[in-house]
Amino acid sequence: MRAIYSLLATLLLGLPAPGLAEPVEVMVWDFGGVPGHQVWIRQAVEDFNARQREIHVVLEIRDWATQRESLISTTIVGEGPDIIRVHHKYSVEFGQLGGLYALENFPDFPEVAARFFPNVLEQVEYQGKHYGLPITMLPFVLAVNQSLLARNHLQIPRTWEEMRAMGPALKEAGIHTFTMPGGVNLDTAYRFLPLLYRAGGRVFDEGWTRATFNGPAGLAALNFLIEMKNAGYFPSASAAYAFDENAAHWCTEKAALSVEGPWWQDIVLGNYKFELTKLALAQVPGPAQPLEPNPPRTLLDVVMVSITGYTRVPQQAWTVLKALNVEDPVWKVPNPAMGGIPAHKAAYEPGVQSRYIDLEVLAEAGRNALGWPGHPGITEIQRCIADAVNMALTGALSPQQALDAAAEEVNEILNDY
Amino acid sequence: MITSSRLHKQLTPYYFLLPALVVLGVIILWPILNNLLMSLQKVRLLKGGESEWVGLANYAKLLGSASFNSSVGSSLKFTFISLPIALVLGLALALVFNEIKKHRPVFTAFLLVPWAIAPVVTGYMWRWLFHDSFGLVNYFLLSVGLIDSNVPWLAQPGPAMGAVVVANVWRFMPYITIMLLAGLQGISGELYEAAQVDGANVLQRFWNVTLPQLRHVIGVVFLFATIWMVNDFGLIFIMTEGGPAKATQVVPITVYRIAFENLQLGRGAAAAMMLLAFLLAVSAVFIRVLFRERRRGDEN
Amino acid sequence: MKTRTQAMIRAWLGYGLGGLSAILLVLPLIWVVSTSLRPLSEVTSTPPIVFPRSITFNAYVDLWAAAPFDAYILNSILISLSTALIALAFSISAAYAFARFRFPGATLLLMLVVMSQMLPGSSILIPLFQVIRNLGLLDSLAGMVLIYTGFAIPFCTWLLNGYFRAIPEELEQAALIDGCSRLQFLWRILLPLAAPAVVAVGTFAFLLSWNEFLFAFVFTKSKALTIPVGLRSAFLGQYVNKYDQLFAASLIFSLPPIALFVSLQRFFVQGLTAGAVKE
Repeated sequence: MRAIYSLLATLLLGLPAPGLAEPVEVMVWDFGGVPGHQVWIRQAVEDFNARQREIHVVLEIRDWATQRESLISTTIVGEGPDIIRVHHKYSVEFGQLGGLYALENFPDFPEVAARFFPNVLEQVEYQGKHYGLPITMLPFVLAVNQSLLARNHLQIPRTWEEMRAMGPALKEAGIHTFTMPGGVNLDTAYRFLPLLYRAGGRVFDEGWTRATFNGPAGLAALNFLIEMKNAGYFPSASAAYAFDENAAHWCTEKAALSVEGPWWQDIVLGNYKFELTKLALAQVPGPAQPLEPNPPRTLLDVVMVSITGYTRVPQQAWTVLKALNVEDPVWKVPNPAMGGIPAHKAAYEPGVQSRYIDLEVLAEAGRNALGWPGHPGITEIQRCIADAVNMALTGALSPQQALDAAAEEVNEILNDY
Repeated sequence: MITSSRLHKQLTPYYFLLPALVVLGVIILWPILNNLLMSLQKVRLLKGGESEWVGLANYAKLLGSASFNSSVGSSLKFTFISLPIALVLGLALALVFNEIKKHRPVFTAFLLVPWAIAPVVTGYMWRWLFHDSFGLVNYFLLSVGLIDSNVPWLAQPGPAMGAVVVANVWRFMPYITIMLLAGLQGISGELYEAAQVDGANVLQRFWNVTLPQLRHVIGVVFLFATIWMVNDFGLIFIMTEGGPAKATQVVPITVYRIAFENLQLGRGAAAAMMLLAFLLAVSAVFIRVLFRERRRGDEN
Repeated sequence: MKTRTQAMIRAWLGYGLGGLSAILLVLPLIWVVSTSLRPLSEVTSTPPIVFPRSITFNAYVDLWAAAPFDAYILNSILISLSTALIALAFSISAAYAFARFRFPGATLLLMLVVMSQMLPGSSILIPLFQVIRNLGLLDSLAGMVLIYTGFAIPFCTWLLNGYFRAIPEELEQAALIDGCSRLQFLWRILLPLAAPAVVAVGTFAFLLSWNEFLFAFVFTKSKALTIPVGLRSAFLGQYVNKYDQLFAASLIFSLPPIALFVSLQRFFVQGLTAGAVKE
């Protein structure tokens, strides 16, 4: 019907009829994502498509675990989606490959960038160019089951020594003090790093010439975990745990503390019907005395939305990017259903009401957090660290041996680049 | 002089082979060649995709690396512990099912279930069955008194290998049983009758009629099960991701890590090539046996 | 008398052991079934509950809204059936060649056929992606059928080859003398005799396509998505997985292959071999 009218209009007015032009298709791949985020983005895409005719967004929610196979294939072949939502480390890995589009290409980028926190923007930068918009930040904090603590007359610990001191009382009640994924997966590395950072350690030295995570700070952190495990304050099955099992352990109240982030609140509620009144957040504890001279920090993770380097419609992709990830009102309020706290300055204006528990803790952690170093071989390095922690937890190697072996491999990687 | 009809006759087998070979050529030939070529290069994807020819350096690096060698060991352990168990159990099941004359499809429907379930579900199911506190395996073993306290199966190297072997055997049994059952159904009843007339009892009939007739099918099943078990990635990856302490990190997981996580496509291809070489050697043995028999059969 | 008692004992043993082993084999799945009937928060309960106190079918209802499974089912059926039929046709043809002819290069070709299985999936992924892209078959049903046929042919060919060889050559020679062409012999006599094997490898090819995930995931964007891709995108997450819906969905979607297998068995195997063997 519309086509007929348009055709008539063209014939009568001799003008190209609006609406006869095909809308430009922009394909968005959203990997994984917490359920709340998925609900939001489906609706947001529908709304976007409904309110204008030039661009048609096709949204595909894709499997999280196999995203690398998918993205590497499309990048090598140069054919795939236009927009992807991924971890910020891809700006280094895929930015180099030409797999991501430098946002500096758009004249209004500086103005858009000004809406985000500078330290978060750094996480999506590689060699002076920004390869994505950092939409959520995920600082790591301590997730506390405060009812378990209260029942045993304990306070939220601020140091490792205090955590160790809590052990006996909780163990008597049949509860582990601390739990963490310790399996051969990247989650393990992401939980180890806050401990390393809090002890003053870093992954590399200043010039990125050699690994330093096997220094006094890293060793102390790993030793701490092993001691807790040997004393029965930490599950020995942790060496088999990924995020899933760890969450189950904590949510069924078998452990009081875990190192997690902004995603925790909605997940424990949605998947385990955990009573949110029992949840509290605190800063990740470190040793009473930092073991290396770097300032104690926690780990910051960032999620970004990027335009692929092989897109055929960069301008339209940029429009979609801005509409969904900058202008959408969901980013004006920190929302636990989105899996992370917004990196947008607007979300922290005075008067913004959020249903996040302990948002100040998250915000303070975010201000005081450091990301993984932006090295091209970062995934391999993360694996080495995860392997080391896992080896030590299974007792296959001593903490020193495990860390040193990993450091050796990492040094090789550093040399390679 | 070769007449056209004689040529046609000589070409007949090739006509029958053509469709299959064309498909295989498209799907497999280029990937194998591509891997071969890449294995001789250093392809650091992250350096602008530049690659340099390094000859056998990738192979040398792998053979010298403890992690690769231990993954070869894990692969061998995984395959050659699972395989005999699955074969014996599969053969036993096939023999039992062969005795079921009425309503056999219903029984075999049950048999098909582990095979029909999505592999991702098989992986997660066994991962949770072997969970230390929520898993049914520990629950069952505890309640019959075989263990005193929960075993953290997937957190210790030895038990973790046991767990993936159990899952693997469970997953392969339907395929083995159904193939062997098909083989059993092809054995002509006359052979059994003849043996019975000769006075053979059940065991002798099995040994002298059943097994020899099944030889080809068993051989094929054995060969392909070996290949598939060695190449399997998904089940172990979901259950343990190659851990703990790399105890279950089989070669395909190593290949995945090298190629997709470390983005070293050249070295990943080299690891795959070595896998291929090993499996070629295994199948060469089989083809030898197969064709030795055939020649013997022709002479008869 | 003795043989009749013997036969009865064998039958009883067969049904008894068969039933028992069938149940034992399916037993681990009882956890899958019970998880699908419970709310997600109860998946991790200690001690593990096998029979949930309160059964809920929410998972079975909600899963359909999680992803467009109706489209996925259609794609999966089309791809899997096509793969099974084409792979069968090509493999029967090839197996016949290997079984009945002696020709130069037979050994080599047989090796080549099995060699195609010897690379792990992740090694084939990227080069094959390039091939399929160059053929213009990305995100298409035809592309997936082509790939899965290639995956299925080696085993189907080898097994049918072994099966065909076990069938005596005299049958064929007699038929040829009677004026039958090779193709007629293949279709009218050999295939019915080989029905159990044909059904078995047909099931194999069907299940291969039905359950394959990695290539379906990487090679499709929006049009040729299949059930396994849908299962993982909809129910597996970055952090936690919706086991109740995942298990419910996979139980439902395992039914088509089982139904197909059972009906094929009834049709071809029971019907044809009973008569054929007497020949």
